Amino acid sequence: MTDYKVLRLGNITPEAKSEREILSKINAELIVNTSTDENSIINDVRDADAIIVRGLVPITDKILEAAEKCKIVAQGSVGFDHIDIAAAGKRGIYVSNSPAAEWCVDEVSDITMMLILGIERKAAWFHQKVIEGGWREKLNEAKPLFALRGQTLGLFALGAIARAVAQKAQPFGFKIIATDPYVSSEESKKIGVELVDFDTLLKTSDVISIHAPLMESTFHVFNVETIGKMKKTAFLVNAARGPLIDQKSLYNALKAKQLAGAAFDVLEDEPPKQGEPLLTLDNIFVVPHIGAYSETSVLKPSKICANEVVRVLKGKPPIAWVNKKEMQ
Amino acid sequence: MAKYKVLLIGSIWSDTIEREIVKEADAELTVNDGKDEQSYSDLISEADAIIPGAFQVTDKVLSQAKKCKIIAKAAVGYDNIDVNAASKRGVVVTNVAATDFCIEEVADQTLALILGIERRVVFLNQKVINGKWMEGRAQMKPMFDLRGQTLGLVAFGAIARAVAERARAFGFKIIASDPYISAEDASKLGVELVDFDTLLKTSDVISIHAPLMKSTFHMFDEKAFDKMKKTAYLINAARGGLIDQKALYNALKSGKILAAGLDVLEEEPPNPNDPILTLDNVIILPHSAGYAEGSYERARSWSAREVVTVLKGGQARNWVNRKELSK
Repeated sequence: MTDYKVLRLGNITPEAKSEREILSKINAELIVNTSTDENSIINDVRDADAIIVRGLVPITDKILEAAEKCKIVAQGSVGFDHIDIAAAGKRGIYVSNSPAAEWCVDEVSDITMMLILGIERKAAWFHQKVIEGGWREKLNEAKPLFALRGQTLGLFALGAIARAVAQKAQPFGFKIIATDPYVSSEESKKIGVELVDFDTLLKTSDVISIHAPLMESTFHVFNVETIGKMKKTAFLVNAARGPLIDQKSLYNALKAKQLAGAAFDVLEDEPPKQGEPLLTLDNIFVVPHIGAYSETSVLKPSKICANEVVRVLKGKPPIAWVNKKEMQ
Repeated sequence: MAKYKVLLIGSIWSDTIEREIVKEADAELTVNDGKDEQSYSDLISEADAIIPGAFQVTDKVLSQAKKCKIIAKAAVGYDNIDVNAASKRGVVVTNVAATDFCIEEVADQTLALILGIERRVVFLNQKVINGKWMEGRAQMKPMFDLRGQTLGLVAFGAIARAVAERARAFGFKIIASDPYISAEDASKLGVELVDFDTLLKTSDVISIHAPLMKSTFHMFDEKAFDKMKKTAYLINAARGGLIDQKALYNALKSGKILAAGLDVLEEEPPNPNDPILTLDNVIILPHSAGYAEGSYERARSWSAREVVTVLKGGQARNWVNRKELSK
């Protein structure tokens, strides 16, 4: 007989080696369910003392209602917008995430730099032209291609990943500005970043890179009005969450050459719908939500989540407690 | 009538910059695409100076260029010029130093190639565009964390140093092999100097920054690939001839190394049937590393000013065969 049951959802590293190892110390049994089907999850969740989520599995109020014994939902990613944290709070269920600094700050900041360099230097576009038989004469079509030194990089939110981006972008000669309501200008100055308001960021950046969490207040924060304030020669980069951008408005802006280009690790729909018009443009660069992935990083959230579960089942609150406000 | 004639040959650019500048030496600019010998042979014999784009300045061309005093290349590499033949005939050859126009551009492009090939972004971009998001995700492995990887720089000149400065922020350990640099100089810049063999065997990414010379031709051949790690990446934004491309193709195809990021090829533009174009573990860019708005204008102005200086009887600044001509 085991003392606890832990339900593990999502399809990332479903062999769950670390979870089993850590949870065996408190005599907990692990049940793995890789389905995203609400009913299948509800079936398994009834007698679970804790839930670990490895992947972007929606954790709805309905699931939480069925999770009568559950004390914690431990999420194995930085973002937790797919979890109804208010509903969890109401039911006295802790929600924890896996902070970037603990596992993927380098990976995501690296992919952000790649998206910036890739869209600025038109790498994917040029590669495709070469495969189709083109060569240097394509430079004439690719213009303008601006030198990076002296460009202004605007960071939308200045958390751990954005700070790592700032550090990596500095040697390329970017001037770095940021907007973030939770950071003081003294703090940002220390890392060589000038804090500005959102309006200034939009109007003066040559590249804007988004690093905010997805919340009600940040949903479609890049919309027809805000995108309209950006420079015509500017690039928009998003390795955070798709719905931070109103993708239709962005498509229109890119199509009308109101913006020079955009690069994404995330989209509003993942995978995108067949025939998504954004993907037909030639001033975009897109990778399939791989930002946090590396052979080493992918294993770490399993440990983070299992340790949070152990803490909570032993009566302590989780370290990365994201619904503290909602629970009190 | 202008006193001198300057021939701009085989350039992909319009000629406005050169035309304006050479006027200072009372010279007139003629332009030719360099594709048809009949159309340019007279122009060569009349030219007092030649600015060659990708045009091959061979011994034969130089033998026709009886009036020519200077061949001014508007780039770092001048391997399309037979410098020995020029020296023999007393013709000055100049290039443009990377420091004067494109260090940052090439270093930026090198980092784009390193990050791009490590994170497989061009491959993945194509998958997403083709509606294969999940397939892309399923095929992206292995993908390693950059921090702690060893980046090996082949030659440690101005561009390689700018690459080192950028790469350090990503957590690369940086080593270099360069016969002209002392270990003290390298270590001042936080780079460990090693021999070529060690570089091949221990690097996770190798980026080539050497000039193309007899001694560096095909320095990456089958033997070199045999010594590299199976998980290694090769980056080349220097010159195509530094790599034996057939051997590279075989190495990429057979899994001797993981992938390659190339801004240059042995044959440019490549033959449309070149098998390297069919691989999905390469990124190939069309020799665009040195380009950004303003960078080529700087190089072209520089080479046109070298022409003016020499036609007016002065001494060229970036005179690559100075030693040979002073003998």
